[in-house]
Amino acid sequence: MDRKSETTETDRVGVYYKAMAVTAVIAGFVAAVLVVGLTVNYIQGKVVEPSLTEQLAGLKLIVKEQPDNASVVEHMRQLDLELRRITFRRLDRTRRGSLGLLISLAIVFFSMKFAWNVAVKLPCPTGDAELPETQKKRALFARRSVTAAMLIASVWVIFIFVGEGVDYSEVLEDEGAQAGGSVVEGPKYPTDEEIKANWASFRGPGGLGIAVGEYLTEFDVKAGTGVLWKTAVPINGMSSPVVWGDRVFLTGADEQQRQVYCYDAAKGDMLWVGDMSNVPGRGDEEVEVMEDTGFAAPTAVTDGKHVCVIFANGDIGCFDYAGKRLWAKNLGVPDSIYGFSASLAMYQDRVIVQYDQGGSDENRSKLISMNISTGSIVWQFVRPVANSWPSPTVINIDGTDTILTCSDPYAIAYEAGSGKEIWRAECIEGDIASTPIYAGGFVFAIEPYSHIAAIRTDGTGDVTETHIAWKGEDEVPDVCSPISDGNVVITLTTEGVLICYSVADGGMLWEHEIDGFFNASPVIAGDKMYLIEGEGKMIVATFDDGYKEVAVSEIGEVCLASPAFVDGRIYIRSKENLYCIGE
Amino acid sequence: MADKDKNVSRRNFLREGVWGALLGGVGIGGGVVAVKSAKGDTVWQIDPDKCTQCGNCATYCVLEESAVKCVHAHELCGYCDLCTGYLEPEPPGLDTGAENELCPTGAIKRKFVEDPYYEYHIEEPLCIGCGKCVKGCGAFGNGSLYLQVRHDRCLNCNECAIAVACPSEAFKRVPASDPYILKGEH
Amino acid sequence: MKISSLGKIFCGVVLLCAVGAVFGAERFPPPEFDSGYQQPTMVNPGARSNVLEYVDVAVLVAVMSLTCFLVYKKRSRKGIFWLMLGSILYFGFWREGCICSIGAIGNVVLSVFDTNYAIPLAGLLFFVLPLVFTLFFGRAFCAAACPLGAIQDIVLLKPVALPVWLAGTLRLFAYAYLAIAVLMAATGSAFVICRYDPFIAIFRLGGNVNMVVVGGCMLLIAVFVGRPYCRFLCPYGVILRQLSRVSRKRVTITPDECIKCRLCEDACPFGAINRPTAEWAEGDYRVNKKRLGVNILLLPVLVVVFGFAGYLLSGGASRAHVTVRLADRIYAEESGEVDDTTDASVAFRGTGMTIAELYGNAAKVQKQFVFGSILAGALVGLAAGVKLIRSSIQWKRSEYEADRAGCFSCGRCFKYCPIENVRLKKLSEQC
Repeated sequence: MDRKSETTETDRVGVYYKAMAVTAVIAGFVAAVLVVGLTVNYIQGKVVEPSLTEQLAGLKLIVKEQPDNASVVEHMRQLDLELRRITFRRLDRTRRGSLGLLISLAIVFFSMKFAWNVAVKLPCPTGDAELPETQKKRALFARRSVTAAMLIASVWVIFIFVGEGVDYSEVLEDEGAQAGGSVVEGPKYPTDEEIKANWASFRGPGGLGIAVGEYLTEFDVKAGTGVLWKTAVPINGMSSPVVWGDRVFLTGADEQQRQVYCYDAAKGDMLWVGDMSNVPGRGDEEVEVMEDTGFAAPTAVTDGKHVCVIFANGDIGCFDYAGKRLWAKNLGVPDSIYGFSASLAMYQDRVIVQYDQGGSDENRSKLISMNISTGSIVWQFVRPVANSWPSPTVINIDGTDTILTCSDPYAIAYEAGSGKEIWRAECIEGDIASTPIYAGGFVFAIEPYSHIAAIRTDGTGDVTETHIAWKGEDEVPDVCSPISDGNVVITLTTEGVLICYSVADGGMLWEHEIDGFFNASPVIAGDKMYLIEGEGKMIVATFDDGYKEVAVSEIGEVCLASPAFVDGRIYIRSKENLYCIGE
Repeated sequence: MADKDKNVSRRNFLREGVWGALLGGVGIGGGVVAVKSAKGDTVWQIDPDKCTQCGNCATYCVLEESAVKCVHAHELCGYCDLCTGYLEPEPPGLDTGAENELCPTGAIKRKFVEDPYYEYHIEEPLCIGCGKCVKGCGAFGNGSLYLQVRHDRCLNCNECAIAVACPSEAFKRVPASDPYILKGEH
Repeated sequence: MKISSLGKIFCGVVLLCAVGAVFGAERFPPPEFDSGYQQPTMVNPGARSNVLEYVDVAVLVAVMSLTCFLVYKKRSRKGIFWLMLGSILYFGFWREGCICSIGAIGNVVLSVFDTNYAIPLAGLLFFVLPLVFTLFFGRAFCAAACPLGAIQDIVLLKPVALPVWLAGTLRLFAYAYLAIAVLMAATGSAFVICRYDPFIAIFRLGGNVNMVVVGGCMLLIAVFVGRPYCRFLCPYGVILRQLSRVSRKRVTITPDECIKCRLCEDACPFGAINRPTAEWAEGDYRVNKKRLGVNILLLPVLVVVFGFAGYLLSGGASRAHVTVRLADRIYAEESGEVDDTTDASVAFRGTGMTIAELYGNAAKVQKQFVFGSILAGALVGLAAGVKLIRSSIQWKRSEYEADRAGCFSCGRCFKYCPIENVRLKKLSEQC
């Protein structure tokens, strides 16, 4: 190779190299510009657009308030248009920009590569071949670095391990132990005797409205005779008092607050107020209820250690007797046209919630059984019924603890423990509000303004055709629940018409009309029945031989809640007060 | 020398054995999986019954402009004048003014049909899949607007980024031969 | 019970209107039109045709076959280069990176463990075919067919040689990644490989910003360090390495006999050229044998220790599964740890599933994770242990040769060999 041609060769390479290098620099510059542009674009999408969207939302609100303000409307429309333009322009730019970036980077790489290929010389290794020492050293390094990596990994594992999560097998075992561990420690739930000696839930033991013991038939609020105490209730509610030992519980709620009140049964002092705010799981859905239902229609339930409450917005919670909230959750705002009103029932250590909502074909109504002390759901299932307003009751029927429910279109009985359906009867339609009772071998279910049905309880499956013994169709109530002493069953309409049927055959024994209106369901104590009239009267009458009035006492306040009867004392909730009647 | 040859041949034999075993393993394993999965190809789709209109579809897709778009089942639509999928809640007016429209990109076009009915049509290139109209329509209307993965856009990623972000597990793989979950068809 | 009758009558009227309104399509009955208006029908573009997937498979087979031809017959680096470019364009930019053999690991594993999941046949072929090719021809797939490998290979401008010990240790990441990917896919938690594919955002010209940045950084590293993803992370590469060890054919640097000229010593930017070994002193052999014995005994210990580490991590790892994440959230809400709700927890409460059921499902997933994490940990322990054993073996080599496991068949070293240049009838002008 002669010297001259070598020089030209070098020159040619030099020119080629330079050209490639220049191309790379130019393309690199373009790429840098594009990166900046794309970043700006990205920031615009993440910062500018959201702020404009917010601004637009604000303007929309203003437009809603002043729909006639043309300049605001115009401004808002301009901003809306601008925002859309910006968005689509950004999307377009991102697309083009990334393509451009890719192409320019490709040019950078290829020109650099070619430049490099021109300039590169194949290596000429120098020095000696490897010595054994070098190779041994290399192997040693490899072993040491692997060991080091393993040590680092171990430290990392220990570090990570600190943030260990929840083990759900343990959680389930714990809950299982809480639910089923009763065998060892004795029952964690009240005995039948204890339940019968108290007024633990809506309408007392079995939801029957039957009181044990003797009660005053007359009192005088003005003179104070027969009134043990009277205490103001902070927030009104339609729910009834429940009583266990020396404690009386009430709930009250309005749109903002939901509260539980605990009173001393002896003196009427308020012991504590339980607050149901900040319940986890509640969305911001608005709750709409009818004024006559209110936000606190469902009655609480208590087992002597806990009191469990539910409100119209689906908040359910539990307090211990010291007033400490143990748990609270939201079941989702119930879709109920008048507002949710089903009281809670209790079976062993479980709360039963009849969570009916929506239409019967929507599969949104549920029956839920929850552990009273933890709130964990023991079982729940969907019911094919519409929204309804009666309460579930738990009662032993022929040796089986049974949950009775009434909702359009079925009266259904479930096994209280498992929730397994025993029977159902398709005999009630419309807006069901009366709570079913069990008496004299029949379950009585009421379809408002239409009929009271007596259902024999020895059936299984669909008993509509086979087990409805009789139907009474005279002046059927729409709100109040019936009462029965086992021989007769008595219904009371809102307008004050009392009808007495024979339990055995449904024959009407007598009827009587009282002047007044009634929302509270009647209670039987001994041979007398106690009626609470809405304007504020307590009417006592005997019923086994026609209606015979025993006494009428004036309360002087609107009274809509059903009363509680325990241990010689009557607890009546008026609109603003809680009265304790007794000697 | 003979020893060395023996060594080499033993090593070769071992290597051959391993090689055969691996090839057989790959073949059998592949065959088993192939037999198990003779169900055909799948693509991603949204189950409109599970969709909660959280808005993730608009933001989580790997595409800058989401592959999820709103579709309109006209046969379910009530053609209402006061369409809660088209109009803001309590709109100041009932016209096409921007202050009344729910859609942030104006992708729903409203067309008068006959008194008192209006047709609503989705202009797909404008739709970003945010689901605002779906929420409005589902809450108060017939639910004729709903979100679907559009397969002309969807890249059918092995792991769909929206499916990962979906709070209600509404994304699922459906047969590619029937790639939509249309309302009113099941 | 507690509702006045007046209100009830009023509401009864409302109810009559509202009853129909509650469910879906019944609220406003579709109108009957007088004007002869025709309802538009919904047009739904179909999914991508099946046939095209088999085109992908055909392209894959063609590229791998061509690679073998170029490596073994032509010995042409240039050809491989253009083939790589083609792969990047087809599998990368045209097919947008989806359907890829690396990601197919997830699909294959899931289809083994989840009876309801069916892997598309094309996906299965993408997984299996490169394995078969590797058994015959070495890592022909890595050479040019894999767009991820190709894009890294193409941007490699100024290779920096990593010390052997460092590269070997970093490679353990790939084993860990494979273990994690299989664990996550088997439990149905995630397709980790797909989610963290560093280059997909580049192929798609957009996507998650984090992944764009990660991909950009990876490419930047790839300019100096040869194929960092392939060597230190790729879980599929781990499988191919092992198969490649026993492949029928192997890449040779020289077309004939090695003359140990040492010219190719630094030719491989991926550290896949093994040098001839030096003769050791007799004493060294004995020491080495002892060490080898110790390391072999260490292997089961490492497997157990790493398995235990996997067990410790299983609880945390299980949070990758959507059910466990949801259960965690609900648990936090139920126990009052948090006051607010998330979209997911609200959606869950809307399903009617009980919390106990959710916890039950979460417990099931956690059990799978305990088992899977132990196996995954053991796999990593095994990889580390074998690595230790291998670096305790005194290998014997008499010439420069391409490492069976590590060679990507990229063809870079060919031109360094003087005998190759003789073959090509252009004697080296270097040196």
